[in-house]
Amino acid sequence: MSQGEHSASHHRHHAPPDWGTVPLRRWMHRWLLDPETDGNHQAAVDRFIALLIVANLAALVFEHVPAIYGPYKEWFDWFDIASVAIFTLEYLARFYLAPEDAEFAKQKNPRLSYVSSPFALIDLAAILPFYLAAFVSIDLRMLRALRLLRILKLFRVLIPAVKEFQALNKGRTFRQKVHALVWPGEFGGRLNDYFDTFIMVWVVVSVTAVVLESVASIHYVLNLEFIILDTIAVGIFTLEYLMRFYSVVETKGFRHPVAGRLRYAKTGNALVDLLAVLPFFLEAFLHHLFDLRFLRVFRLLRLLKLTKYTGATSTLVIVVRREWPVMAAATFIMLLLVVLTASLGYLFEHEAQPDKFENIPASIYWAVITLASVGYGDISPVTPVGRIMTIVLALLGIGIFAIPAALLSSAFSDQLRIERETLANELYAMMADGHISTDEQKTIDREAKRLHLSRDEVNRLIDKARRERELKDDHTGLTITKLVERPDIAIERYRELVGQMRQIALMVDRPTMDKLVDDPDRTTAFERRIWQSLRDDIKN
Amino acid sequence: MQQDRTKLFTSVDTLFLLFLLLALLGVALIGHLAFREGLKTEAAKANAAILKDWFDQLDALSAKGQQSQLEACRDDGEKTWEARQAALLSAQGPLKSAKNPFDSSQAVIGQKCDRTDLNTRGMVVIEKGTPAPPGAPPAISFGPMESGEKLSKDLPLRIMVCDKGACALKVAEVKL
Repeated sequence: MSQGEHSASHHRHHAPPDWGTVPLRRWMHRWLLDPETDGNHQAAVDRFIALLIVANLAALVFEHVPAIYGPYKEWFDWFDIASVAIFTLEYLARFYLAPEDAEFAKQKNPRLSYVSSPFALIDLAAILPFYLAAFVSIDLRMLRALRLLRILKLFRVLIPAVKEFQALNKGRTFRQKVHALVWPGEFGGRLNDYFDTFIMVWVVVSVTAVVLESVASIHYVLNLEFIILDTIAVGIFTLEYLMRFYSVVETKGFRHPVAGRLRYAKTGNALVDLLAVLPFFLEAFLHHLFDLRFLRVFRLLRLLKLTKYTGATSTLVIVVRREWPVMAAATFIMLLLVVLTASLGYLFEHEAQPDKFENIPASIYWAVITLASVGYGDISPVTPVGRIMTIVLALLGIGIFAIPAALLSSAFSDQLRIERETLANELYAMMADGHISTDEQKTIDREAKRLHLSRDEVNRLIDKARRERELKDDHTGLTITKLVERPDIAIERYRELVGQMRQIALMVDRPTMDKLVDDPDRTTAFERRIWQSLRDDIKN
Repeated sequence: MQQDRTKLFTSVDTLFLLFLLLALLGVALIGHLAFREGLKTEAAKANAAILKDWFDQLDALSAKGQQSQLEACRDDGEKTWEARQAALLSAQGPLKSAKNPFDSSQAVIGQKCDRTDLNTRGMVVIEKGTPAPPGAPPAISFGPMESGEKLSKDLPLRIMVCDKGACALKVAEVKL
């Protein structure tokens, strides 16, 4: 097929083409690789390749740990083969689909242009050493070093994001650029998303390392690797903290260079960020004065860093604040019941089991375990009165202890409903011009992600908003005063009402209706005349 | 300090970048120090591993009905732990060239790891196992050995090292 037939289109496509509607090559390109087509798999393909590159890097690191590489050498080899197979498929697909790519389509020989492009050379460098090793004897260390070239493949994702970032931030100050990179906003683009993903990956990696460190056998083997990993993680988190601290003055509400930054430093997110790195520094500087190894457990607080990437925690905070008076009352009743139960337990059981029900404070443990339906069984009543009392109080406990949980759960779903209604209202407003723009779509996607809505649920809300907008557009909701100002609409409304009256006259049980209309207490003479003319009209 | 909006890159930005660099260098330095301490723990583990290999060889010799080349480590039921310990560190012993990686002036073999005494860091600790009463977990409980204690054949032993915080790290369980 000639190149002219396939010249790649430069405008944005709102959906990938259906099977059979376009030539196979274009269909494949639009579904798999075209960034200008909405709703295709291009983002997923990029994400998968990026993940595979990161996994390759991790494998390369672990191959240097004999304790891991030794027993699982075969697995590492298979993973390498699978990775190269996938990277080769990607390279071949891009080579085959190059004539459909807007970047190469205009060239005399699109495929040759693709092969000589920097990204393609990087892609080739990522797989070539593997194939060369089959024919030429290459030193294993050299081969591993060459495999590092696979990291360069990430540039395929990073370079367009950097270019987009530069375009979005043209003419802005350095601090504003730092702000755009680390805080969500209109100037961040995809680079901000990648920055967030990078931090999230490191949070997960470092927390996993902390958890594995507690396993003596793993810690024994990977002691040095854990030290290196923790140092890199702290370096990254320190960098992130300082960048946020420096650029926060670009955020509304934190504008003052000193007071703004201090206010930020006191926020929950900033405190969590600080706690993520503080144990590392404290342990380094103060270990001669105190035994600070307990601080290592606090490295698990890094997990809290993930909370800023989800709306669930902020929703929970709103819910607790909103329901606080009721929850405080429920907590008060709970405390009352705990003290009462502990006192009764002490009263009835102290003599029989003085070691277990030693005093009222000691009995509180038993009271809470009983009322919360946990029932470890390490302390239990033995006297008949004590047992009867436990039966009653345990039943009471089920109800009383369930109140805060029920309150929280209902308030949480209530809050979600409110937020979804807010989104529905926003959608209704967006539908004013009859369609959803790209910016509006981004807002919808962001909100849908925050509210954990599936694509189907969002589509349902959009349909609902569209229907409501259409209903409003048919002017039935307009008031009389508005209608009289618009005779063109008023006549439509008049016709609609007359039509409805005819429908009533046609479908109603006529003798009963006649009887009711003829009742002077129910209708006026004018209304009776209208009914009469409607009846006559139907008869004719 | 308020930024001059007419300049895209100010002296404050330079200061920030310098501070950022300093912070990263600080993290790298602390990481480097921690790594060096980690290497010392690894060296202590290597001492313990030598000892473990020696015990394995002893076990193999015993299976063949042979005795250790070290006089003090032969199975006669009379040798004390102090004498056997000295033999391990002697010129013919497996730990002849071993040094405490944290402080070469400190002992290579110690009685126990003590978190309150940093001088115990890097020591190799050998504990003896005592069978627990039937049904009580664990089946064998390990504890420190006294200098004058006489050690019998097939006594369960646990080899440990004290890490950089003088915490005990288990290396292996062997039999005499």
